[in-house]
Amino acid sequence: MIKFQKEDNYLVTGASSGIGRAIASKIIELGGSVIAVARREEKLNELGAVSEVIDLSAKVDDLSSWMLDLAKKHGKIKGLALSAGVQETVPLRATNLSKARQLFELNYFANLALAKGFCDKRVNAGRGSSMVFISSNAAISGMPGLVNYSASKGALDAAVRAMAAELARDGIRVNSVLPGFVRTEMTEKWGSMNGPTYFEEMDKKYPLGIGRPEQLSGVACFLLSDSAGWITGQNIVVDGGGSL
Amino acid sequence: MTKQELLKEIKNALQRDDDIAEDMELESIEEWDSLAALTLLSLYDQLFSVTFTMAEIGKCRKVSDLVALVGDKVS
Ligand SMILES: NC(=O)c1ccc[n+]([C@@H]2O[C@H](COP(=O)([O-])OP(=O)(O)OC[C@H]3O[C@@H](n4cnc5c(N)ncnc54)[C@H](OP(=O)(O)O)[C@@H]3O)[C@@H](O)[C@H]2O)c1
Repeated sequence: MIKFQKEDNYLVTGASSGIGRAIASKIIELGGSVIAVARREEKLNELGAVSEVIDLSAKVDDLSSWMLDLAKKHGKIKGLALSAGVQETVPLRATNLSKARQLFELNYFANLALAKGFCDKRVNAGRGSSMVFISSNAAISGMPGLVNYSASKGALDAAVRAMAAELARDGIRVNSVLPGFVRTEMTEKWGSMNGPTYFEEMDKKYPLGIGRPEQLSGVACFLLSDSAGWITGQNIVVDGGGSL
Repeated sequence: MTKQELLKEIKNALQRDDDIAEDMELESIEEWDSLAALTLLSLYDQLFSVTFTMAEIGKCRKVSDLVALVGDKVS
């Protein structure tokens, strides 16, 4: 049974919705403290954790020093669970480069900047600290319309391996989780785009059916915890068999 | 944007050599398929900041129906 300590701070991005929110709730349930990050304050406040309202893609260059400020304000941070992200379905022939860069700004560069901030010993809680990135199974299986999104997640997964190798000497572990189709605000949008039978059709494509956010939070908490003390640099697929 | 400009945008989105005309049946256009429909969704989002559903695009039978979706935005 995983247990966190009250004095252990976990910073969770995307905590206002979906997978990030489920991870934040689970950390609190297991006894840890959460710094919940997103743009919608009222949604964050529902968690009953510390809320930090920020647009992560607007302030990428400032994010590393922002982490230092957070550590001064709330105490050192034991773990990061980085779930904030956007998905855009755009066929290659319709790709607009400035929009493609904007997606990378949040899905990749904001996470890179947060990781940079976290590796500062004035920010992390030392050996046993850990980062978990929420990637996607789109990074390992090709789907039409997801060229740029898949690339942003693939970039994260590759960075995870290099970060893990670099930070192992400090006892910091780095992993990513690759979810399959999970019903959240993000996928509700696709549902309304693709018509009423969309969820049923997706459900049939997944041997164990499509997922719920709570089916990701356990894995993320495990990876953040000491129980995963010998796991680093891994991209862990959690998709109900969707990529089989 | 004028209607002619929009027709050119649609033609380019379909990666088509020949011009398209409003009275053409979508079924008769070789390049019209599900990826082309998805491309049109992105195009309308980029050009007019409006999001249509695949179902709405799926209901279109002629090029004029595609134009009509954004009828209030073209002159
Ligand atoms: N759902 C799936 O099927 C699925 C599958 C594979 C991977 N994923 C990945 O899982 C992660 C979470 O997705 P989800 O389904 O939980 O999506 P979601 O319900 O739409 O949640 C996205 C979260 O990101 C936050 N966010 C978005 N833009 C932000 C910005 N500029 N600054 C700060 N926060 C921002 C949102 O909060 P605010 O709007 O309040 O800012 C929200 O909390 C994403 O990285 C996604 O790519 C999801």
